[in-house]
Amino acid sequence: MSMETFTQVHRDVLRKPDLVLTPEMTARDVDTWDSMAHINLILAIETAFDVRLEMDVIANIRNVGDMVTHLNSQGHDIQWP
Amino acid sequence: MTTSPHLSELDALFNRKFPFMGKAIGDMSSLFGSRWQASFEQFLSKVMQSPDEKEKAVNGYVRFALDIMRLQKQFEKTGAYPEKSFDQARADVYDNAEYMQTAYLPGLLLSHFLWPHHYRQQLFFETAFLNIMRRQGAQRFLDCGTGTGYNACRILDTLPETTGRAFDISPHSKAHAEQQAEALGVGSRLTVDLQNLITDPPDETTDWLISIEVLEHLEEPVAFLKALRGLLNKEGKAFITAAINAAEADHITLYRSTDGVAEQILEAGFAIEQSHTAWAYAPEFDGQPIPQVAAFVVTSR
Repeated sequence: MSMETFTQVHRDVLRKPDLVLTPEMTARDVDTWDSMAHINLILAIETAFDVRLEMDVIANIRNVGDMVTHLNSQGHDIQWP
Repeated sequence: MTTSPHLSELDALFNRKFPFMGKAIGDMSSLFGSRWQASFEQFLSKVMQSPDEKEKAVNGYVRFALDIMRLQKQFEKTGAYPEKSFDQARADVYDNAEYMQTAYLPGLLLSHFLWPHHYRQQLFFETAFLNIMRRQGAQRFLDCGTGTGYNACRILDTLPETTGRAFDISPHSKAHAEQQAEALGVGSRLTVDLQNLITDPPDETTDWLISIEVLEHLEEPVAFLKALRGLLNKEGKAFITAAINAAEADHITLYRSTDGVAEQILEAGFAIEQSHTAWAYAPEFDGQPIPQVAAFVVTSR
């Protein structure tokens, strides 16, 4: 799974078709990224990348870059452009 | 939220521990304003005073919310709740100390303020039931399936002349409700009994009865509603609610609409005075089943 998939998941869930992700991005940077969207985002990432994000993992993810780092640690290869 | 220190503390905890959920407080505050802030702050100041209590609640809320949203996504695909008996739900959830104490009860408790549909139900409860209890000088009420104990405690906290008796089958719910009542200073006015109301009906009837989000947890909700009907005096009023299209680990009966709940309430012999339905969030696509709560003020017929 690629950065393309990772980006598309965010665009779909957050309803931002032109969203460009950055490693430092957090919910505060996107107006549609509310708490419900966040849960939907976690579930969509779990489905797209076939992982289960447990509480301790979620607690340590501070931004989009941390999520990429975690997914790559699970065998994915998501590269920032 | 400078005048709401407990709410600010909770907000900071969400941001520190689960930064992606950092908008949980701000979203609700924007939606419901100063009234929501004041009531949540007052509740936190009494029930979750310490940082440790707040941290446990936030951890539990996030775990609970994630668990049920995973089930909800599965439900969106299958259109049905996973098949489960009441005994299985009891073993998996109500008698499961670890899950009840660290996820289910703290998660549900915070959901009263953090889920829009639960908070809207609170507002309806206040205007359509609690205010009538106050005007008519209610003295005593029964809470059938108390869960967290939140609603029973709310009545006792609002109406100092009342005493209440709550029922549940979970010892963890009983302990949670009693602890909350003590924290609010209303413990001496609440009794919580471990009792199945269908197989072991209580020895008193009442003018005021509440049963909030219990029906969906049952295999035979109509039998339960008939038991409630038997507990309500002729001139009494009850506040009965159910969750619709809401998959949770212990939800057994699937209601697909407010009408589906209303039919069973009428079948049990109640008359409906008022009803209210609130949605958890807006649909993302046509036909998406959205969690809702349907609330009814009913009388005997």
